[in-house]
Order: sequence, then C-alpha cells, then structure tokens
Amino acid sequence: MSTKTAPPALALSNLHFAYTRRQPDVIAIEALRVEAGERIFLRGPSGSGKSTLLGLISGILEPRSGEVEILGQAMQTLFSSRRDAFRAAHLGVIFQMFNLLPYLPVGENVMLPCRFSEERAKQAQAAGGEQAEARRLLERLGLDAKEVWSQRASNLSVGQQQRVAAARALIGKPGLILADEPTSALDADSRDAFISLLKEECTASGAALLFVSHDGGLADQFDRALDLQTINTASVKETV
Amino acid sequence: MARLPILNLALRSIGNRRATAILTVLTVAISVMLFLGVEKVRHGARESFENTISGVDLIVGARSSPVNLLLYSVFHIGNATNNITWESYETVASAPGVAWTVPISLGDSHRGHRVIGSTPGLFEHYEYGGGRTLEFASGEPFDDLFDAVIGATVARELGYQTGDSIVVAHGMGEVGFVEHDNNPFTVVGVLAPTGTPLDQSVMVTLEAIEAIHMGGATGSGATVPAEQLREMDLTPDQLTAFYVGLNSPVAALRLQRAINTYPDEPLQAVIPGVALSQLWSIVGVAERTLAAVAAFVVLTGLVSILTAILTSLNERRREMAILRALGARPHHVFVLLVAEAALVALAGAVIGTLATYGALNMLAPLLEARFGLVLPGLAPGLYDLAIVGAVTGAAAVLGFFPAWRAYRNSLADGMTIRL
Ligand SMILES: Nc1ncnc2c1ncn2[C@@H]1O[C@H](COP(=O)(O)OP(=O)(O)OP(=O)(O)O)[C@@H](O)[C@H]1O
Ligand SMILES: [Mg+2]
Repeated sequence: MSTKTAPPALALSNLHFAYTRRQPDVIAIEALRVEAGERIFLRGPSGSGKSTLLGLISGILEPRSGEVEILGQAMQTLFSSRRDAFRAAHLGVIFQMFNLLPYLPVGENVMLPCRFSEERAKQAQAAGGEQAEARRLLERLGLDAKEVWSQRASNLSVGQQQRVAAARALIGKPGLILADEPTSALDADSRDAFISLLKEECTASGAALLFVSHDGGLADQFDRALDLQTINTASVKETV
Repeated sequence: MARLPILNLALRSIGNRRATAILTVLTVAISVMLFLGVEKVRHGARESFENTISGVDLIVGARSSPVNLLLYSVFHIGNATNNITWESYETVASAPGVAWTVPISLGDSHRGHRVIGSTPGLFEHYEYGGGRTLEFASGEPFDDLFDAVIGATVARELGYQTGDSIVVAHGMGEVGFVEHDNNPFTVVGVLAPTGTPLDQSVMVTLEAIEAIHMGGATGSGATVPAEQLREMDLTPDQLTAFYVGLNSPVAALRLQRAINTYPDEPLQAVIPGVALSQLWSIVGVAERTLAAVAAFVVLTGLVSILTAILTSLNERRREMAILRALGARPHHVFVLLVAEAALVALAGAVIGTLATYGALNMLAPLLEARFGLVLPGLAPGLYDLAIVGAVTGAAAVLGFFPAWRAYRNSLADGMTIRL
C-alpha cells in the first residue's frame, strides 16, 4: 500500500443523538476511534444504545450534533443520497437475526451489495467475479456453497443464515464491518466458530470490524474491547 | 443508479407472497373484466338499439309524441292512440320526392307475438344495424293472402318451420280475445335473427289483416270462406303507421313539416334516428348506472391491492431495514411499494382485458346468431389500453399511501429490525 498511514476506519467526535427533539440524548460520545483493519468489541447492556450507535455510524440516522468520519470521509459533509451510496460501497452490516431477504436464494442474497454499489461490484470482479467471490466467501465461512447456493434463505438454520450474512457483508471488500449482536441467536460452539471465521475474513480482506454485543464474555477474542457505558455519557446518566 | 434492482426486487417480493398476490391480481382481473364487459355490451346494445331501423327516412302515424310513435311502430310496445286513413297514406305516398312507402298495420297477435300487416316492400326496405337488409333463414316473402313470414325468435320459441299452419288472434296477449281459426296462415318464410323487434313478429299482408276482420273488429268475419275473400277488394281503409323512403334524405325535414301540418288529419312524422336517440336518452339511464357500478367494482379491486400491501407492511419492515443497510435510499423503499401496487394492477388489468376479449370472441357468434347483437371491435383497442393504463396509474397513486408509511417506518427504524 502507500507510505502514508491509512485513515482510521472510524472516528467519532462529540456525537449527540436523540430519537425525538424533546427526548434526552440516547447517544453522547466524546470520542471513539477504530483504526483501519482493527477488530473492536463494543459491550453494552440491552437498551444502552448499541443499535442506535451503529445506525449513526452507517448514516441511516442523523446525529443531532458532532461528527462521524468513516475511512477518512466526514459523513456530515455528504448529502443523504451520497451517504447512502457511501454506505453501500464501504460498509458491511450484519444484524442480530433475519439478515436475509427471504424471497431471494442464498447466492443472490450474498451478491446483493454488488447490485447496490458499483464499487463493490468492481471489487468483486477484481477478486475473480461476483459469483466466484460469493462462493469463495461462503466456503470460507464454512458453508457448502454448491449446496446452499440456490436454496431459499429461509430454509437455512439460524447459524447458517448468519454465515451467509457475513459473506454478504464481506463481498466487494468494504472497509468497515458493523456487526450488531450477530451471535446472540447461536449456541456457544457455533458462536465462537462464527466469530473466529468472521475475524479471519476481515483480516483477509483488510476490513475493520466493529462488533457489538451485550455478552462481555466474547471480549477477549478481539484486538480491543470497549464498554459503551463508559464512552456513552448519555446512557450513564440514564442508567444511574 | 442503473444497477438498482428495485423493480426486480418488487417482482421477487410479490412472488414471495404468491398466494395473496394471485388473489389480488384475480380480483383486479375480474373487476376489469366486468367493467370492459359492461362497456362492450353497453356500446353494442346502444349501437344495436340505434340501428334498430335504418334506411327509413320518416315514420308516419297518428299525432301523439315522437317517442310513442316510435315505440308502437318499431318496437311494438303499447298501442297507437289512433289509426290513420288510407287516403292520408296515399297522399303522402304520392308526394314528390317519396321513393317508397311501407304501410304497417298492427293490433293482432299470434301466441303472444305481434302480427304485422304490411307489404312485401317491408323485406326490401327495412334495414337495421347500419345498412343490413333482412335475410331469410328459409323460405321467401309472403305473396298469397294467407301467407305469413315469422321472425327468428318466433320460429325458435314456437318451433315453427316453413310450411306450418298458424292461427292469428285479434288483440294482444298469450291467448287473443278471438281466434280467427277459420283462416289459418301458412308460414312461407323465416327471417334470420336481426336483434330487432322483427325477431318477435309474425308478418302477413295488409289484406290478410283486413280479411280476418271482415264484418267487424271482433273478427266475426272469420266465417267468410277464404275463396270468397280472395275475390273481394281488401284494400284497408285504416293503417297504424307507415315507413317512408325518400329519393334524397335532404328532403326529410321539409316533408316532415308538411306531414305534421297536414290539414285533413292530425298526422305526425318522425325521423327514426332522432327519435331513437331521444328514446335512448331515457333508456340510457340504466345503462349509465350499470357503467358506474362497474367502475366502482374496479375501485374495489384497487382497494384490495391496497389492503394486501398494507397488511404485508409490518412483516416487511425487516425487508426494508435490510435494504436500507445495503444502501437503498428511503425513496427506493417508496418506489418498491408503489411498483408493487402498479405491477399487481397491471397484471390484473392485462389478464382481465385478455380474458374479456377471449370470452367475447367465444360468445360473439352465439350473440349474433341468437340475438342479432353485433358487438363492436373484437380485438383490444386504444380504449382498452387506456383502461389498463388508468387502472395501473390509479393503483400506483393508491400505492403512495402504504409507500409513505413504509418510508416513514424505514426512516424511524434506522438499523433496528422490528418484528
Ligand atoms: N426507533 C426508535 N425510536 C425511539 N426510540 C428508540 C428507537 N430505537 C431505540 N430507541 C430507544 O433508544 C434506546 C437505545 O436503543 P437501542 O436499540 O440502540 O439499544 P441496544 O443497545 O441496541 O439494545 P439491545 O441490546 O436490546 O438491542 C432505548 O432506550 C430505546 O428505547
Ligand atoms: Mg440492538
């Protein structure tokens, strides 16, 4: 790569957010930084604002004030249309469950980001073609690509669905993967297997990973662990 | 954003809810079928009605109202208030510019069907359906005093064929007041279906009407033997009405005025087309009501699309959140739902239109053979294209409502997936 250091995958400063104008802040974060390629664990109990924070980072929610910078790009300087395009190109998102469009077969679910973003499609092409790349990621995540490829997403087990979701988040080499409690519906064994596969693939594609969960026991599998309640001053006020 | 697979996603999403979608498409298809069917039959009926009689420039009868004259002289509904004299008829018939006249004498019946006394000129000059002339399914026009020609419906309902003998009664009704059964008529001809009141009629010569009434209107003259009757002068002295054909239709208005102001007898002449339009404006209320009902049925079909989409909305919040996370814009969510409504309506409208024309093409020969009803245009035309477009457009507009709700939801939900 280049000689200058890559910009951080994520940098937040003085971020404030509330769902409605009258409500107190749900999020109030002074600073949060995730380096390029870094794998971060963010712990927080239910209702502490984890999903809200991810919504802000992905640009789906608009902060009341403060700045979100992703891969060196300040999100607040973009119009919402450019933000949506930026998200499509540079972010991969994995939800807690129900990640897949039930009416598309597995293969098409994985390739969906390439439909929404030219850049993701190009990256996948460079890696050997959309289909080949999707199959490769499925295999890497421990699925039999041939077998699941044309199955309806809803036919898979929850653990398999989460792996397909991970493959979808990773296709086209986005710079930052946001995972919102992706393992909470999995048993302990498949949870650990899933996390290590996800970490491996993030490393392989150079993506940073922001993994949020209420389960602090997962923390030591990551480069660095943070507690949302310590960095989010809004939620501290609320829970005290 | 050419890569955006929104339309494709809309189709797949509909496919995922196939059962509901098929039912909704069916609802729309049936409502469109009903609407187009009503429209077709409506136009067919109107055209057929307005073409009940053509090629006749004037209808002349005793003075009443134009619609009344039309009703009894063409549709055989009701009775003439008065007859007109043979002298008046001859005066008009010999007026300059008159090409031909066909006298009509009504008042008798055969088993519930009207008997028309006329001349062979009826078969020559009566036109309907925009210039179609009467055709014989079998036989030929009447010639002899006791010859009769019957309409297609009469032949079908009563099972008559050429060569059969029939008895004519005086007055109307299933059983006439007096049956003139001493002078049976022979069926010499059966007309092909026309969709006009002639289908329901029995046609005999003017002289025959006179003959069966010899010696008084109640028909006591029926005792006079046929041989004797043939030797008498049976020129009637009264008529119910007569049709007039002119050398040039331009003269119609002038002759009409002359007849309406005829000094010796209160006569009235009407131009059939004008009177038919007048009559249709009365009958047409029912027809317009029918069209309005059909339009409301289409609206019901459209509302069913709305219902189907609205009920699916909650279970699809997840779908919307996923699409948003993948980079879909809020307005894509909007477009997705509007497209869904429009696609369902389009499918329903197209299927409904094709089914309508399929059915019409299958029914058309039957309708024409049995009722003489000729339906206009048996292939989809611009009008149908406009209907399909209007139904699709209306559905898209209705789709704004669920689309707006989904749009609001997707803005409010952010990254959380609500179930
Ligand atoms: N769409 C919304 N509208 C209004 N308030 C919301 C909305 N979503 C979340 N909240 C509120 O914001 C706070 C944080 O919610 P959030 O979903 O971010 O928590 P979380 O940490 O993700 O919880 P969990 O672990 O249960 O997923 C909660 O108090 C919640 O009630
Ligand atoms: Mg959450």
